[in-house]
Order: sequence, then C-alpha cells, then structure tokens
Amino acid sequence: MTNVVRKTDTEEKSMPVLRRKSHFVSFFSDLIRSKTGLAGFFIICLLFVIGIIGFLIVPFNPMDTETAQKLLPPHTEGHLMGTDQLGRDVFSRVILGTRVSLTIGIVTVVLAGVIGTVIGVLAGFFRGWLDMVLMRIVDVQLSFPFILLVLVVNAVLGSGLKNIIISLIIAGWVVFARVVRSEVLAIREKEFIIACVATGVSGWEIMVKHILPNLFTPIIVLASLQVANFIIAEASVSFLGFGVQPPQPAWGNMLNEGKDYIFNAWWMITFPGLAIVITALGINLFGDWLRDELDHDL
Amino acid sequence: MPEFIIKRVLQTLIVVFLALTGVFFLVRLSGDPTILFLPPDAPKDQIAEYRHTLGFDRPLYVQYADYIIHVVQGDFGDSLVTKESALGRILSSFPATLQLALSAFVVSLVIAIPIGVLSAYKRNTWFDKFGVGLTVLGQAIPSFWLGLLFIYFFAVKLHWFPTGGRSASLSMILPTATLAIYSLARLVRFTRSKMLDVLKKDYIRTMKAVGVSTLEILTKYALKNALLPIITLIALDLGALLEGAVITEIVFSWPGIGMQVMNALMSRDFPVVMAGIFVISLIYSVINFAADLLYSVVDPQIRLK
Amino acid sequence: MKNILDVSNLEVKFQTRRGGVQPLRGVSFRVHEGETLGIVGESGCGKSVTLLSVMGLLPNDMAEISKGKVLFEDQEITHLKEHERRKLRGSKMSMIFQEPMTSLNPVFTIGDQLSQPLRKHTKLGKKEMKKRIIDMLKLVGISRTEEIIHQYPHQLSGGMRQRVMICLAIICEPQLLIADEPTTALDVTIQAQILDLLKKIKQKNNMSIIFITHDLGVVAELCDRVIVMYTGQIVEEADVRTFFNSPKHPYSKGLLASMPKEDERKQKLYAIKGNVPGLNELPLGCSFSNRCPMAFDRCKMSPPVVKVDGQICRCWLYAEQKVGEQHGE
Repeated sequence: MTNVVRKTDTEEKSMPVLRRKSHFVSFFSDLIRSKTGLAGFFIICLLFVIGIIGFLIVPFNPMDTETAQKLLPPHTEGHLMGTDQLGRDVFSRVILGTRVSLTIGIVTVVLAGVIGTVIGVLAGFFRGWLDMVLMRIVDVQLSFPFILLVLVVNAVLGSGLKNIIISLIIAGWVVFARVVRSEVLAIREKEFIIACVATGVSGWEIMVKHILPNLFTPIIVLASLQVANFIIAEASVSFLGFGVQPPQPAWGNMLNEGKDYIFNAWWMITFPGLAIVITALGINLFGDWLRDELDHDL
Repeated sequence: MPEFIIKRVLQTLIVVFLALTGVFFLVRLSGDPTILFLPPDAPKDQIAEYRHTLGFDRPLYVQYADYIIHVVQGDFGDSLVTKESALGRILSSFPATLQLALSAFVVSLVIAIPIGVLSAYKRNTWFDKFGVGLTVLGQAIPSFWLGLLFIYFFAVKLHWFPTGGRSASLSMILPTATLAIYSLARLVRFTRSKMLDVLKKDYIRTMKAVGVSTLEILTKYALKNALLPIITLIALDLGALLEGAVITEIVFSWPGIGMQVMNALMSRDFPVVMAGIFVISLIYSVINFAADLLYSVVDPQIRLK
Repeated sequence: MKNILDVSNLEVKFQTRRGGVQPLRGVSFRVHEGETLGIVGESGCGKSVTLLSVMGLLPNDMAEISKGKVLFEDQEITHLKEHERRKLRGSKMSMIFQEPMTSLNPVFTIGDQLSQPLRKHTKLGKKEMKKRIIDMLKLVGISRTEEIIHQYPHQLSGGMRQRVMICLAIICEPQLLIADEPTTALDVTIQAQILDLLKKIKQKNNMSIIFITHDLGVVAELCDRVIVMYTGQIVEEADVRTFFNSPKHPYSKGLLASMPKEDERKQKLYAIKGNVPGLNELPLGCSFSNRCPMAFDRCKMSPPVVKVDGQICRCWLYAEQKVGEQHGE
C-alpha cells in the first residue's frame, strides 16, 4: 500500500521534469520519422562503438609487419581487406583509424568551436576596435584555402597527431567566429534585447543570459557539419604526407601509402577511402537533419 | 563606383599584407628558420654560415622590415632549391592552375545549374530525390580519394587516360572531372535550395496569376532572383575550387601552384611557399571582388559602397 | 442575372509532413456578372484557399481539389490542363494579393512585369503594349508613367505598388477580379484611395469582383453580397444590407459585434471567446459550437444549411424553418 502511494507522489513531483523530457522524446520521435537522419545517427553510433572498442575486435595487431604476407588481396589467410606493403592487416588498420579520425574530428571541433564562439561573441557584442581587429584576422585567414592553411601550419609545427589538431584549430576557428558574430549582431537588433537595454539590464547580463542561449542552435548545427569537414581535412593532410604519421594508422596516411601501390593493390586505396566516405556521410546526414529539425523549432 | 573600387583594392592589399605578416611570423617564431631551410643533417658551421647569409641572425623586426621592403618591390627572394626567383616559379605555374580550375568550374556550372533548377521544379519526385542523394554522397567523398579511384579505373585498368602530368592531350580529363565533381555537389544543392526559396516568393505567385508558364517563371524570373545568392556561393566556391585544385594537382601531378607550394613545403623552400601564399590570397581576393561587382549588376537594390 | 462563377461543393485536401488536413469542406457560392462579392472570416477559415483553387494556384505538390466543381462562364475549369488554365489566368480572371511589398519581383522593372500578361494573352506590338501599359497606369492613378515603367519595385511606396499590382491584374480587362485583402498592409488613407480605385474600375469595365477581407467596414463600403466563412465552410450568405441589419449565424453576429462603431467609442469591444480551432482538432458537429454563446445539445451534430429570409445560414437555430439541401447549397 505505502509503496503505491509513494509512487504517485514522485510521479506528481516529476511532472515538470517529464515535460522537459517530452521535448527530448519528441526529438527522437522526429528522428525516427526521418530515414536519412536516422541512418546518419546509426552510422555515428556505430562509429563510436568501433572507435571505443575497436582494439578489442581487430583480428590482427595493426602494427605487426609480416613481409612474407605483404600485398595479399582481400579474403586471403583471414585478411578481410587484404594486407599492405608491409604485410599489415588493412581491416585492423581501418578499424583503428576510426578512433584517430573521431578523436581529431571531435577535439578540433570542440576547441575551435569554443575559441571561435568566444571571439565571435566578443566581436559582435563589443563592436568598435576589437571587432575590427578580430574581423581583419578572420578576413586574412579566409583569404586562402583552409586546406592550404592547415598544410602550412602543420608543415611549420611538424607532423603528428597533436600538431594536426593544433593546425586544424588554428585554421578552423574563424568559421565559428564569423557565424557567431553575425548571429550576435542579428540577436542584438531583436526587440527583446532592446527591451533589456531600455530597462537597464547590464551588458554582461544581457550577453550571458540572453544572447548566449540563443547562439546554441546555430553553433550546434555548424559544429555537427564541421566535424565531417575537419575529418576530411585531416585525411587530406595525412594523405599529403603531413599530419598523422605511419605506423600509427589513420585513413589519410593509409591512402598515402596505398597510392604508391595503385597498380597492384586496389584494396589499399579502396577501404580507407570508403571508411572516410561512410563517416562523412553519416555525420552530414545527421547534421542536415539536425539543422532542419532545429530550424523547424525556431 | 570608383570610390568602391579604390576601397576594395586597399582592403585587398591590407589583407594580403596581413596574410604575409602572419605567415612570416609563424615561420620565424616556430623555431630557428635556418634549420627549416636546410636539410636536418646539415653540419653546424654550415648552419651558422647560412644563418648569416640569409640574415637570420639579425633582430626579428629588422628581418621583417627587410622582407616587406623586398616584397613591395616584388622580390620574394630566391628558391632555396633551384635558386630561381620564388615569385617567378609560382607565376610560371599559374596558367596550369587557371586551366584546371576554369575548365572544372565551367563543367560543374553547366551541369549543376540545370540539375539544381530541375530538382527544385520537380521537388519530391524521384528525379529530385536522386539528385539530392547524389549531392549528399558527393559532399562526403574527399576529392583526393575520388582522384585515386579515377586513376585506378580509367588510367590503370582501362588505360584511357594518363595517370598524371600535363603533357598528354588527354591528361586534363581526369583532374578536371575530379575537381568538377568536387564543386558540383555543393552547386547543385545550393541552386536547388535557392530556387525553392525563390519559388515560394509572392512575386512568383503574381507571375503565375497572370498566366506565365512555370517553365518561363523558372528560367526567366526565378533564376534571375536566385542568381544573386548563387553568385555569392560561386564566388566562395571558386575559393573552395582553388582549395580542391591544390589537392587535385598533387594527386594527378598537375604542375600548378598547388603542387609548387606542396613541393616547396616538402623541401622546406619557404620563399616559394610565401610567394605561393601571396599569389593565392591575391587570387582569392580578386574573385571576391569580382563577385561583388557582379552582384551590383544583378540586383538593382544594391548600391556599391 | 448571369453567373460568371459557380463554385459547387468544393473540397480541398492538404498533405503535410504530419498527415492530411482538409481546409475546404464543401464550399458552394456564385458570383453574378458585375457584382462584388465579399468573403469574410478570421485567418485560417479557408478564404484564400477557396480563391486560390478558383485561380488554379494551389501548391500542387501538397494540395488537391478532392471534390466539387468550379464553373467559370459555364465551363468546368478544375479538370482543365495547366496550359488551358494559364490562358484564363491574367486574361479572364486575375488576382490581387495581400502583400504589395513582396508581390512584385525586385529584380525586374515595373514595365517589364506589366508587359508580361500582355505578351501572354494579346498579340500587341511593342509600341501598342507600351501605350496600353501607360494608359492603364494612368487609369490606376499613377502619374509620371514614363518614369515608373523604368523603375524597380523598391523605388515605389506601398500604395504605389498596390496600384501597380491592380494595373497588372486588370491590364487584360478580366471578367473576374479576385482581391485577397488588398488593403490590409496599407495605411488607412491609402486604403480608402485603393478602395475608391477598385470601385471606379469596376464601374468602368463592368467586371465582377471577389473581395476577401476581414474588415467588415470594407464590405459595407464595397460589396453587394457577403459570404461568411468559418473553418472551411460557408456559415452564412446574404446581401450586404440584410447581413448588416439582421445577421443570422451566431458567428456573423459575433463578427459584427466586435466591429467598432462610432457611437460606442468608449465601450469595451466585444470579442468572440476562444480561438479558431486547428483543422485537425475541430469539434464534432458544428465547428463553431465550442465558441458559440447559443450552443445547445443539437450542435453536437452537423448543422443543416437553412434558407431564412433570402439568407443562407448553416445553423441548428433555424432548423425549424425550411431546411435546404443537406449538402452543398
């Protein structure tokens, strides 16, 4: 008896929480209704699983070189995707490459996003000389190709996982800064901000309480789409011989090694490339859906 | 109008100047540049001597001032590898890049705009879904991988085209196709969404209400309205095209600016890298400038300021 | 009198991402030659959908005429091919829209846009076309015509643009002009001018006008007959005098009561309680029953269409009197 009473008690108390949850629930029921968004979501989940437990499921040590077994085509001696020029298992390397790509994609987007947002908010909110200086920097960076900038910075800093992340952040924050700044400028013109100013709310409070929450949607949408861009950029740079260096497996440097064997080992250029395409596809599908969904709510 | 042009030229110069400054300090502050400029196994006395001949033992601001003075005179120094003028090397590879970028641009434009317009017109039909599917896929395929696949199928397997270079008459085809597909996806997607936006507008309904046919509305009215945002994207996309060109050139050993800069980066030939950055950022700015001018022609509401 | 337009039992369905709705649920009315018919009702009652179906301008990827007929000059037009519809639009029937600010294309000159219907529906040469455009611009009260035809919409004021829109609609001298709240977006003084202009043109060309509005003052000023719509149905139809003197449907009464009158300036305005229900949450039976002050238990069933003193009314209150046909008229 007492149990039952308690149950209804908590149910009543949790009403507001439930309501917030239903927002969450409607988000997922919308996701299920969209075939493409759901497909993207599944691909992303799958990638995360592979990225986290990948090292447990690989059939071979991806670093193990076995020159006697080099350049085996797929489906020979247990090598699902064949072996490379040093006899390493391509499948295992593709699996482990997932973690590298995801790490780079997420870390760079989070850091570039935070830096870009802070700078964009400062520029858009305070205007004046600060805005001018910051936006000139943005203009300069946008005056040459993103990939080239990453390449040059990476060439100067040196290769390696850490340096490619730094290079991507240095080259990538500007996009966030620009978008956030223009959003801030747009929000500043809205009636509710003008009303705040008119009623004497302090500038700091307006920024934190009223402007920042309204930036959430555009930043999330931009970030979700930038993840794929950054992953492709890293792959490109590694493909060009900078970025992540072998023997550490990354899809880009696997393709770089593979291109020298294009005449006799098609599998070396096929599978890592497919991995990039599937990853970018999944993220873009989900990101596109997210943009439509959040736009819809606005 | 002349005021606008002068202002933009000044702006461009400032941006290019700041870009060079940025890269200059990036290179100098990241460590002893002499080491970057020399092979890693160079003996110590050679390094010291080299440092002195290049002037790297002077204070940084002196080096910077010196560099800028030379740059203003059009002197980017000599290539450390071939000893030719760095700017000369970059400029000599400019025609190759221009050829590749322009042909790819024209190809993608000619294909993308009709597909985008048709896709918007036939919204939600199989044609539209197929088109949208292809653009989503196209955006997920990195251009260098597409290039590799093309080489594998059309050069290695079928022997239709050479694997790279610019000497053979057919060597243009594969890099052009790769680069065109790279920008095709975005152009189709953008044309479609802008056309959809425009087709929803009241003034399109007005034209329908006086009996103008859908085809005419699409090709005459809506396209002109959608053209403005499309031009913006195309301008931005030419920039992206340049970016794709860098990668495509390297994959196909196409002797353009991208490959020059890449080779220079590999051999730490920083004067050439700097000259390359100068030329590329100049091209970028000129493209944006041209887009702004084109804007004012299409949209009577815009007055250039 | 001859009918120019005869709409009978028109139903329209919309397919949306979240299921289908039916914005028109059996609408029937006629427009006589040379008559001005007013259609009133709150936003979302189906006024615009009705007239867009008459024009054939419903967005065809989501909307569909599922039932009913539209006779224009005794010709059934809902089954016409698109190119045949096009011949009617702009020449025999045309439409003025609510938003003069956005209804003209910003990147084409006024002259170019005005020449479009002439190019479609007449065989006039360039010079004759220009003459016609200038004559018509003068008719709608625009001076400086030579200048205007080379200007772009953004160089004109809202009132001027609406004059241009009217000019565009009547340039081929249509028999039927549909005006979808043409004055709502304009200043009051401009509104009066535009209404006068419409009156003048109507007399001159002897056309029929369907005037959609939610402003009963405009109806009193301009219209011969009134149709009141609510949630996709016609709830009352009457000539203007009868309508203002003795409205029958409770909804019409509510609308009239919520209209400000000069001698009641200080009193609080009456407001119909509640809001128009969404099309997928209509109450059973009479769709107005949840807001109706007179509602009683029979209102749970679909109300009959009743003829009272020459008025037509869809309400149980008058069911004891002569019951009209259950469906349609």
